Amino acid sequence: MRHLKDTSSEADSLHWSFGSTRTMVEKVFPEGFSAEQSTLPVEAFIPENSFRNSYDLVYTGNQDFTTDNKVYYGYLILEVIRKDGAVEIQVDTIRQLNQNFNTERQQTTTLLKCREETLFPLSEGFEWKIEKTLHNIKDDKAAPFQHFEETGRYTGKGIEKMDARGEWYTYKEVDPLLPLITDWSVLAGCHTLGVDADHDFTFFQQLERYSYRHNIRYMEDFMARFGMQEVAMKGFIQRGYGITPSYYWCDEQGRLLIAKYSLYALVYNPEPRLKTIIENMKL
Amino acid sequence: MKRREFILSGGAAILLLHTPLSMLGSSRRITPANILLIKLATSGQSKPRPVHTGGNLNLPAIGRLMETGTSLDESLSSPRGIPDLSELTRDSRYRYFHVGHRELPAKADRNLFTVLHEGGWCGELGDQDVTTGARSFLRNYEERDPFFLSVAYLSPGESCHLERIDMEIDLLLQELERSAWKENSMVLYALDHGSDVLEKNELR
Repeated sequence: MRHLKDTSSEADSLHWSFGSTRTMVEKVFPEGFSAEQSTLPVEAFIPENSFRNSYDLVYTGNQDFTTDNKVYYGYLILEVIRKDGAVEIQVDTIRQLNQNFNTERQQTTTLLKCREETLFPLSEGFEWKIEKTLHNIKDDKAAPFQHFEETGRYTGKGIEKMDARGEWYTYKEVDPLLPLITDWSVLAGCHTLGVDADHDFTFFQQLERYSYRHNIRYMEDFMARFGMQEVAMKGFIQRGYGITPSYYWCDEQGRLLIAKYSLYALVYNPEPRLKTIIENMKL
Repeated sequence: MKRREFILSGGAAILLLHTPLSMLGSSRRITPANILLIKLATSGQSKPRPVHTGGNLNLPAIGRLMETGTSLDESLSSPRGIPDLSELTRDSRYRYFHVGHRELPAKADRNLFTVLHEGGWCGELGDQDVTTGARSFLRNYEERDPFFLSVAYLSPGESCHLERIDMEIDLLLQELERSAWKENSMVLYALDHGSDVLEKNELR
């Protein structure tokens, strides 16, 4: 196990896979988990119940950004609802575009229907609608293209989508022996993984793009220290087609605190920064 | 067909690139094809590195473009007889749109193009938003004038990012193939900083 040499705070102890850039070490954690008004969760997490988790979407590339508009790119809110023995996941996410809060930002909303199994695989027969809206457009001539929606369904053997003419077509045939899991399901269902986790699946990012040969497995335990708080965490690593290894860190109760991808991370925040910024801009 | 033969024969891509220029002021009867320009800006820091593929990249969408298209293994802006794309942006018959990573200062970009958005710096997420913008354009464009849609992805130099970009291009091509523009569109695919990949034949 490799630990960062701590430069953000004398008290912080961070795992390398959290993201070792100055942006993470000197801004995101000091202003979030390690702050005096820490953004670490306070309330108990009971994953057997319905729950809501929200995250800042932060830049983790090697540009060492430190200003808000280049660090906080968006938010993700996942609401998990238990319903009739199944799981529904309500997704609401915004990504600011370019590097300025005054430029366009894209909002995505959808609802997933999943099985109550490891990582909440999509239910067979599930039909979805994903909606994407570009807010804050700068050019009126772009207005006709600011809304995009797509309907799709999972048959168990394939993923079908409806085209612009309203006709169904097969987007991809899938491996029927493996569960089909979205990235949002991984985030919402981390708590279903244990220390013996070694789980193969097919991956359906954002309900749009299918990829195969994915696996997630337990990596290690880590005792993180954010400011004055110690947090026992469990780490998992995902590998597969089209992604760099991705890391997921849950607290003892199973709540996902950090997901680290190639150039961005999701960091738990009960009040996501960009949401607050956008609301203040509307005033 | 070799590049030189292709250029000399006035092959499809070059013909379409040249048509708007050569026809300017002489004829308005020919409707030029819509142009979908897919640009992939790799980091330029290094050649794509295999992360988990064992060096065998599986890029079906890019492979399909290369198999069914004509490859120009030279810079499109080089002074070797290959037309400069920027000339095309002066053809008044086209409507120009751009989505994604920009190469020019923002003001210049927005003067040349109707910019849907400028993509994002969050790698995979930003590129997904670029695809969404382009797909929305293909679904909703209703003008009679041909369009020039520039779609620019920003991909770091890991090979799995090329796989990721391939998924984006796959979505984009599926959208085009199921759109009203299928029969009268040309797809141009351009890669910068990536000549070493082509030299190693890793993308074919």
